[in-house]
Amino acid sequence: MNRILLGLFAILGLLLAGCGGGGGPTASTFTVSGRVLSVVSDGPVNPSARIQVGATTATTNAADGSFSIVVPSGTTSLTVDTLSSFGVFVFTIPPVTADTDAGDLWVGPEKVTVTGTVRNSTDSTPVANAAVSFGGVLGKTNANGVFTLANVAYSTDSIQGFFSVVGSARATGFFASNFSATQPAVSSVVTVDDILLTPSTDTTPPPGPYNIWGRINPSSLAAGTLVTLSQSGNAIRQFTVGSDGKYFFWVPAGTYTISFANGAHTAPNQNVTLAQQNQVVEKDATLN
Amino acid sequence: MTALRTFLVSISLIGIAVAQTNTIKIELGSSRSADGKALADAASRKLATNLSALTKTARQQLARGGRYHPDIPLSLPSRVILTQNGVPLSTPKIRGFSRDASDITLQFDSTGAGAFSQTYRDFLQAIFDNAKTTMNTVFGPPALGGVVHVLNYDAQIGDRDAVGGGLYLPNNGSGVREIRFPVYSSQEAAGVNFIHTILLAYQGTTPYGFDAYEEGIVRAATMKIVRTAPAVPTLDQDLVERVLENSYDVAPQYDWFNQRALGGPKFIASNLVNQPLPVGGSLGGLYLLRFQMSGTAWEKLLIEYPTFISQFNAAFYAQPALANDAAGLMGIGQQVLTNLRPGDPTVEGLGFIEWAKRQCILETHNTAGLKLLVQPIPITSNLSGTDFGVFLFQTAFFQTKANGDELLLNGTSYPIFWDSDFNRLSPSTQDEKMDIAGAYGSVAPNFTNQNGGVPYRVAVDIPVLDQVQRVYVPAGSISTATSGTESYIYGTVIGAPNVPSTSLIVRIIANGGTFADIPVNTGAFGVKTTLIDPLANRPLTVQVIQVGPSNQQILLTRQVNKGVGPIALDLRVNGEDAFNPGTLPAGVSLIGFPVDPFSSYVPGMLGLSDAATLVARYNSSRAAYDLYPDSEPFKVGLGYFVRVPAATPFNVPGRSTTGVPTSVTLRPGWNLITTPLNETVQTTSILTLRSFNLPVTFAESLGTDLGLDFFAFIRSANDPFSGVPENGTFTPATAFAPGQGYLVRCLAPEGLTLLFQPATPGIRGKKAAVVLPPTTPATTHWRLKFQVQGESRTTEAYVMQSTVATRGFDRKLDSGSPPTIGGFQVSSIASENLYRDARPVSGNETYTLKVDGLRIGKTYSVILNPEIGNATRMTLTNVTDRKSIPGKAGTRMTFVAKATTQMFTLNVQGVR
Repeated sequence: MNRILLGLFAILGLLLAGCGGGGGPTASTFTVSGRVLSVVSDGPVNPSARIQVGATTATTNAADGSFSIVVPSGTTSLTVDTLSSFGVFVFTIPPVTADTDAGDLWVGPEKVTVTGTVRNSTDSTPVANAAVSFGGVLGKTNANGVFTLANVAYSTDSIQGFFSVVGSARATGFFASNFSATQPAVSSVVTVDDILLTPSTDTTPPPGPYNIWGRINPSSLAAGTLVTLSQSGNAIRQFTVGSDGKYFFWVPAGTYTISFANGAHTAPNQNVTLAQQNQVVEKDATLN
Repeated sequence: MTALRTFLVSISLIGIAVAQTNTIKIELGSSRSADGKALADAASRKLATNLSALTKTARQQLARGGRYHPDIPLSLPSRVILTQNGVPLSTPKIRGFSRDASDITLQFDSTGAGAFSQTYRDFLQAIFDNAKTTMNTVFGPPALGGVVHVLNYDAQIGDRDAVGGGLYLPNNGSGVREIRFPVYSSQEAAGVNFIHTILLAYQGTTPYGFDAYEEGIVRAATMKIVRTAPAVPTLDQDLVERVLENSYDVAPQYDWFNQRALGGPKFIASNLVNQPLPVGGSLGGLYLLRFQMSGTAWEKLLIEYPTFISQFNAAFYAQPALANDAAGLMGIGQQVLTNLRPGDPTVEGLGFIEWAKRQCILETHNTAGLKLLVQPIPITSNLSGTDFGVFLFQTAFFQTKANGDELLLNGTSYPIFWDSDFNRLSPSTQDEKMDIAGAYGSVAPNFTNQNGGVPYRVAVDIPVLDQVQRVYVPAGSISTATSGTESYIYGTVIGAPNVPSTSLIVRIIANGGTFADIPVNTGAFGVKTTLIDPLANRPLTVQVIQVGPSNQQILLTRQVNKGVGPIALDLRVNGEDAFNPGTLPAGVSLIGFPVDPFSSYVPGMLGLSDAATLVARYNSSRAAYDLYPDSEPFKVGLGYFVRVPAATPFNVPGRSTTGVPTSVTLRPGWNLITTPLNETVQTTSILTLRSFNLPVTFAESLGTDLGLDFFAFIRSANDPFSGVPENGTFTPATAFAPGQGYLVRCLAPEGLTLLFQPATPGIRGKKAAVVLPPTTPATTHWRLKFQVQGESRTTEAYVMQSTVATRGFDRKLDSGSPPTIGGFQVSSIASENLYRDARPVSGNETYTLKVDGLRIGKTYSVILNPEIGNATRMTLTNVTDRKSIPGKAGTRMTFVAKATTQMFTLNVQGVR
């Protein structure tokens, strides 16, 4: 509860870190900050850990795990010596070209590999080259959307701490998404559920709801096609196809027949059964 | 314990099904009874192990709030039913007792693996002997009398810190009714659990079909029994209260926790019970709070009607077919009130059905969608320094599937703390962000002393994806670093009119007399010592009174059945209203909710069957609509497509926030929302909040955090066969009207929260919608509205030229056109269909405009409306018949549609 005291500790930690580095940042050096957290305590590492880059060192604030260290431009890794049985963790970071927040770097008594797949939320296709971060370990997805992060901190005996680690995935053209693990390691590998990213480039509002839809082919004949939905032999809906060549119906569960006509051009009737109204069925048609 | 950690535990056994949360069914098939006993043994052992794992995280969460007593385990007594071919084994008549005997006799083993020590056996027998009279009074006599065998199953429990409670088997597979009970180190834990378990035996063969009834009634009765002086004479009452606080009673914060995410037929979703649990423990969703809230809800009835449960049970025993009939059970509830107090058959001032609607835990329908619950817990101990209003806010975030499964979700929330004037507070950086993992997240801000020790109301919005849950807490009213003991009655007031020269008080009336007049400071209040015996349970009348120089006006009167201990009150003046358009028109509509409905059962509100219900809400994460039953229940501030076959009476009562600035949260992408206030809100009255930034205006967010335009839905002409509108057109909107849904696009990757501000804060008021001109960037050089009219419908698009536009899509200038879905729509064709097409300033520019949704043979008009700047020359061409006319302000070209889609071009030269 004593936040003033915590704040003083934090400031003191920053000052000490600066002293350890031999001075403040210069034109060719930058400050990297972050926190070192323990998957056992689900909080700051205790005792304090030592951060090392080359000959420069800093220690974490015991109260909140924070650290700050001045590093040369282009630095790509931070070595975290937990000064405990957890041992040493090495975290790769993007080349430092400005003051950088390295985020939360997690340490623990064990190390595992975390793997999973990043997918497009709209069609489940894999998202390649997505940047994935978990526990302070960074990686990228391959062409199949799969990522593999090695040497992630883990604790079999304090699994909830591991489950509380929040990772992130981001890719160009998508909104970023967070994830966490929900299952323990099997043979030192933790597989997370698929991570779904939502495209950020769709500027067109969605159409209204539907559960039966389809495309009319060929596209040259599609516009103006009358699509009629019937149930038990009675026509109940009609849709006039526009320039997008698609038709849509939103109906309760049931069995329906769809007919298609554009002047003299027709397509064979199609039957469709919706077992439940949340089922979405596509029925394309080709006019002759 | 070491061995326990080496494998995953699972509650699922072959042949086991879960009915109510506290009922495990075991199918014996053609097994002989001896095999059945072995299966029951295995199931009991497994259940005990899983309860240990299940409750581990819940215990940790309670501990974070300072509410867990590690010496007292959680209490989750359960019923184990053996079935053969799906039919429960008959509950036996035993040893000379008739089936109808109204008494239960306990039988203990004196030797063997199932025997307790003599001391423990005597203790349990004494607990029952002492409590029996009170049990019969509070709960009613047993539905089924006879001998119940009590067995020690301590050896089957793995984690000593997580004993789940006793198990009751109506038939243990050998024709014996049986209680399996652990050995507790705490007598109080043993006593409470044992009474609870015996009450399961009291219920006979037909438990209630909903956890809210089954669990709630037994828990409320257990609380009442162990708090009744003669019932448990050997137990320490303070320690008994600790047992109840762990897993029975949340009366002090009931008002705060009464949130819709609690609802549902089961407290622990089947998938969370049946799927393998990690040995570290499962979050298990909201189950513990659900247990506590259900007990507390029924306790409210007992406070006003001490024999309510006994009469309710008796009526139910006579009509067991109502076990799964929520309406039937509520009918019983009303009948019991009428029997007990014919002149005023109400509880907390309401008839049973109306009262039950307002208790979210008693919503027994399964509803799908995202669920968000926020528990504010005041921290009242170990305060120091500047601690003034320290609260732990625990969040549960999950998704319920149509089949009742619950998915524990991950996410990030940027909590928003508002002071009483709705300025954003920033308590500390560590509280700016809440990571949610496995459904759980928390922050613990301290709301500091801002005004010389005067308490103040804080509104806390926790937004996640497109969900937001608000709670109100009083900073400085409960316990501060310098105030010493905790207040007994505290809370917040919202919605009171802001009248000069007046003040507010909260008046507490009990036993016909005024016990306290508590001043309300900037929406917050708290009092310590005014009441005699302040911690006792009792009915209270609570009034919010506006005190003027010469008069007092009662703004709100609420009946509150206060439980044991302090009480938090969430008092809302004009806090209830209705979304009442009168009727819902036949066909497709896009509606939005200005109130938060009491009910979550959508078909009931639409007057349709489940199978005929057509409701949809857009889910930008899937880029698709969630269709009922996958769609979430109606919620305030959210928009939904609905389709009803005929005009339907529509009047949905609920919690209202009119008069109070209220938040709606957007997830990245398109969102269906509305104003959460029962009044039209202009965009100039909307603030936007992104992550932990300060609020900015709606206009400032356009093109950066918000799409340039948002859209309303215009119903199309009637379908020729159904005779009602089946689709429609999206059209840009300029204000949010209550009851209407809108499509709004969020560009901020972490989502965005909109704060809708009422015209007159604190006072109910409605303003007519005012149509504002579209956004006009200062750099716009020329702009023209291209309008098409026909069949009493109008559609429009904007073409423009700007000094900062590019030929690509400019987020601050261009705006995507709504889809046609069979409706009437004009779009400018560029890289995509545009509603607003901005291009660089050019000497010669041609725009191509497409009109969709035309009806062949019908007459339409194109109208040119220049709004900014001038063009030396414009030429409008109908591409279909190649007819061209010179364009100027007001130019109108009439045409007869030859196709459902027709194209036009507009050539513009010499813009200045």
